[in-house]
Amino acid sequence: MSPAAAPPARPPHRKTPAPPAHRPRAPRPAWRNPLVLGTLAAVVVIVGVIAGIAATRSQGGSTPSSQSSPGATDSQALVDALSRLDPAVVAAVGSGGVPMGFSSLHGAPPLVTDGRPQILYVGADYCPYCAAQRWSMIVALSRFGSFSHLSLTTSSSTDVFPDTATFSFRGSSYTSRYVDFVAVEEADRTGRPQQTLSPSQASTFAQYSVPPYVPQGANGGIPWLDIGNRNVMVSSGYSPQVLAGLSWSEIVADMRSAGSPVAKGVIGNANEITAAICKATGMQPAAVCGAAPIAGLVALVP
Amino acid sequence: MSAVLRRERGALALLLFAAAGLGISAYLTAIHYAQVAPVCTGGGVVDCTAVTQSRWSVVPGTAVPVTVPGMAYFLLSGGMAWWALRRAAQNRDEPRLLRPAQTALSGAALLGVLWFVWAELVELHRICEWCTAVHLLVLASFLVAVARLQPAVEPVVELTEEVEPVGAAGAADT
Repeated sequence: MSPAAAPPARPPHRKTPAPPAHRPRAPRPAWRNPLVLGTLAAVVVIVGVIAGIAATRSQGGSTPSSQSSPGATDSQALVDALSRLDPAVVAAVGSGGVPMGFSSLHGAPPLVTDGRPQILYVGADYCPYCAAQRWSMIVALSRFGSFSHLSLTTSSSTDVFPDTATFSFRGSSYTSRYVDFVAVEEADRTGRPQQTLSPSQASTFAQYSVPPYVPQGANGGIPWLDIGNRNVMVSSGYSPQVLAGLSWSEIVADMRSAGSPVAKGVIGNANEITAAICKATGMQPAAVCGAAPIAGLVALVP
Repeated sequence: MSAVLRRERGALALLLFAAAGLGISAYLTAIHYAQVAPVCTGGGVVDCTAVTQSRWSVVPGTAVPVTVPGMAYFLLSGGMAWWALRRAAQNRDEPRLLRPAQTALSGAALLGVLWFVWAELVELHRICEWCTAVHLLVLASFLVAVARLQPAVEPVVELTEEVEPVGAAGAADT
């Protein structure tokens, strides 16, 4: 190996001017990240569109279905009050002395929607007994779900118990995970036809709105209430006379006192309807069906 | 450890959001099966009892409350955040797909949230405050996940003293 072939000595190093050092860039706050800002803006826009659609629908749904709108009375506030009655008053009222109005449809095929018992109501806006029955139905059904778009109306001005303050189920919606509620208001408060039964509803109504399921003389009568084809009830559980001359707000106010005729009629009837519904749902929800006085009333439902 | 937490603030936030969301979802799931009303204000637009008793409170076509997939989401999201923090503590890189996966997961959860907000506002006309808290946690998680997709700090290049061999070009054997 020649000296020339010897490995070269490690070359000396010299310092070279270092290129300008990159300064670390300060972390960009997340709120200045365009992707984050864009995403947030998109979500805000989508929620805004949803709220806009909700507001539009709400305005459409709040239009009174009948001619006797009570002006400034807020139907949703009334419905909220009906759905949050004092449990002590509800328990104290019990059945309110209202006779059990349900009869049994023993052996009938269950009426269900997606596995939930269907509650079918047939009535009309002009009918004063329907007016009375709706108060109790709203109280009872609000224990299993919630209503929206219920409008205020009164029964016919020319029928018995004229101008009874009530709600109309027409145009309303109800949602519950325990039951399905279907309401058909066949006529408005002047008697003009407004909703018709579907063929299957008409068949059920024709079959179970006759004796022995309803009293003699009440064939095809309204209001008619079918709890999942287990029990049916015709007419109201209490007399519309109880509500005579009272405004919506006065009725709600009277329901705060367990001893008032309004509380006994509306809440007592509602408790019995609730008991019938509990029987159809297999006592669900327990918080409703196990509470006083419902648990005791269930045993009275035929 | 505190240096890791400072450096991985995003992952830490995701972990905290997941813990809070899991707690609320577990509570709502428990009251669903116990069939009791949640603790909340009642009446008016803000009414969580009405929302939690509605048919929108269950996965469509099932009896499973929507809070169950909610719990699954927060468990997964929290697990991913915990994984990221562990790797950082061990001075190891995160798996390459971890952040995109967390973003996709949170994006899917956000779509579910928007569906539920639709149900609350358009169908029920009521808002559940517990649900809204969960919705905000999902939104916050998604935003943090999106922010974490982009590195916030450019790599620091330490070039204080660079040396260059003299005659390096001619240093080959002759």
